Amino acid sequence: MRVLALARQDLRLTLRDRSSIFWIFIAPLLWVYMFGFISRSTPTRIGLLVVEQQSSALADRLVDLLRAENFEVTVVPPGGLAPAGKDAPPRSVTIPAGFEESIAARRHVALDLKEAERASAEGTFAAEIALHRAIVRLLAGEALGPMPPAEDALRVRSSWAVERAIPSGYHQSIPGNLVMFVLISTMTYGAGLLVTERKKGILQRLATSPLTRGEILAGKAFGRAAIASVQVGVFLLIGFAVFRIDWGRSPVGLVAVLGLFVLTAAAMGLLSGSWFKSAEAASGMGIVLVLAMSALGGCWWPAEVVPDWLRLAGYAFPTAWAMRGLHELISWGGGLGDVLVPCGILALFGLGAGLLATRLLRREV
Amino acid sequence: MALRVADIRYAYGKTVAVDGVSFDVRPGEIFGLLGPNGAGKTTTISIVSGILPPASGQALIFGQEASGGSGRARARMGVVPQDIALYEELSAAENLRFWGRLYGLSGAGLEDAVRRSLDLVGLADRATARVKTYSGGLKRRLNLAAGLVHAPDLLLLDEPTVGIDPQARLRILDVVRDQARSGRAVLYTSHYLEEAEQICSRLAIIDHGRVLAAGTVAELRRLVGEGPVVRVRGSIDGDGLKALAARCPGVSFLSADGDTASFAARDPDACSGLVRALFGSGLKLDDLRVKEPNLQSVFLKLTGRELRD
Repeated sequence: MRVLALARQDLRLTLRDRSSIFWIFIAPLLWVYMFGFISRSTPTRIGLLVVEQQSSALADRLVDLLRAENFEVTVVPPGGLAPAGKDAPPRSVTIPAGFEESIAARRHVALDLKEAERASAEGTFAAEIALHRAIVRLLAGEALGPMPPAEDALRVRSSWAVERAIPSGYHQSIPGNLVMFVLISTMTYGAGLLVTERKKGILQRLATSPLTRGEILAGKAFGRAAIASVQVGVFLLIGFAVFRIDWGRSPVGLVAVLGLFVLTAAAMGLLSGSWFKSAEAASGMGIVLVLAMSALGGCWWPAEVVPDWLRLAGYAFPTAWAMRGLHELISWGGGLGDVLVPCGILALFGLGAGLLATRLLRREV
Repeated sequence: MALRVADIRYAYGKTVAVDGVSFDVRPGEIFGLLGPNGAGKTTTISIVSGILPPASGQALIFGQEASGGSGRARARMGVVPQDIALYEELSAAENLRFWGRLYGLSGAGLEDAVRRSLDLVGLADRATARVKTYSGGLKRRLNLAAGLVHAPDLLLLDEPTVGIDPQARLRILDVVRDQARSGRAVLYTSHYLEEAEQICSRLAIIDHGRVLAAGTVAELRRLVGEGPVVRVRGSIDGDGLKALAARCPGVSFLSADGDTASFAARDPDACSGLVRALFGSGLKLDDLRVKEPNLQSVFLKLTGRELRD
């Protein structure tokens, strides 16, 4: 209970600081939006040109089904001119004349999917899958009657088997900013608070209370973890409620990565607070260190877009491991087993920083 | 015995800060540790309160060591450090609640303790104001209240009146006296001689980490004799004055420090003889004062220099 009293005091003092309201609650929203918007990749909907050689109810039904697959469908009616140049969708499918009759007569019919040179392989692959799904649903509808998409009995989830997609948009900016802002919270507010307590003799006064040395150190660590947890909570909330990102299929894996990262960030805040001689130095140097670790750790841009040597250098920092763990879950559909290595290394970072901080704080308590 | 300090020693690297200090503090008494800055008072308090482990010797609080262990001994002790160890962003009541909780207080008991402590130091009407809006004197009073909130049996006060106005100082001294009257043992460090003389039942004079003398104020005064003390200021020659004192019956030379020198006279007649000898010596004196012996004279006799505020 006394340990919790210490942790609660740290959280209260941090939230009492007016600037913390901006940095903990408002800035993350702005940063996520800004970085997510800037780093968004391809349009969210793949463009597809549908050329109808002959109008028919079945051809129209196929177009509706393709639209339901979330394609940006542009229809060229019989005799119409297909758009050309850069504005034309990079893929087109042609519905041949006699499409409806051929299906009714159970005759072979071919839909021709063409791609422009500039079309991405991933987009074409997605278009092929969607086209197959639309055809199956069209034929099933003919046989069984139309079935609303929401009531589909069968759903197909796909993931990249060979290459991993490069995270972009909010899938990059939310975990990236989460990692950065959690460290900012602990290494500026958390560290500054500890320096102030050291300078004012509050830590020494704590040492004269009935608390044991272990309880004081645990209380200070939990205090920083509480600050970090609030920050994580803010990101989970805005990620879910505002930006609608999917946090992955493994809640246990997510809790493991975030939990260990929170503890690591808390230990780093403790280390920074026990190292620097003034709150200003702790905050100033803290922000410089966090920004450097964030850039190298892949918080600002995906680690996949930087040269190999830079990506490897990033793994010297906990930010890179936190990002890897989060991307495994959020961007690449991984589970608990996929985040064990990042979790283990985060734990080592946390342990190392915690032990060093404890050694430094022994002078005070 | 509330506190028993036995032959404690402590060094910061090669600098010896406390060198064999021993004393006892009984319930209901105010024991003063008097000495200049750097004498070893704060280090002694740090050892007693369990912050520093002594290199040798023992400090027992109600028979238990303060450092390590379950903290039972520390729970019976209230420490008021020289620093204002408070959270400036919180109000007085919030600060006291925080410290009270660490000593196991909660609920109505905690609220009562907070109210009582604020009343004791006269801050009840400022309970909700943030500490950063307080003057230095008010902060010192709250610093004291934080050491009292859990009603400790032993109070350790490390220079609790440093840098505050006389009114705030008197208030703090009144509170400390009341605490002793209610049966608490108080260890009080100061470099203010008059303050120590006013409130301490017994005291020890400490310098360079050693206790030079200990006893009641009266016992310590007797170290320089019952008679008056003569203090002169001017162009003085230490050896010459020593020789002059030796020629005056009933006069002993105490010290020469810079442009001042002090003598102890056995009685008023010896004092008159000394004054005559001084005026007849041809020395150029700017000031000459005759005083009753006090702790300043004791300190002068023991250390050869004055203890200045």
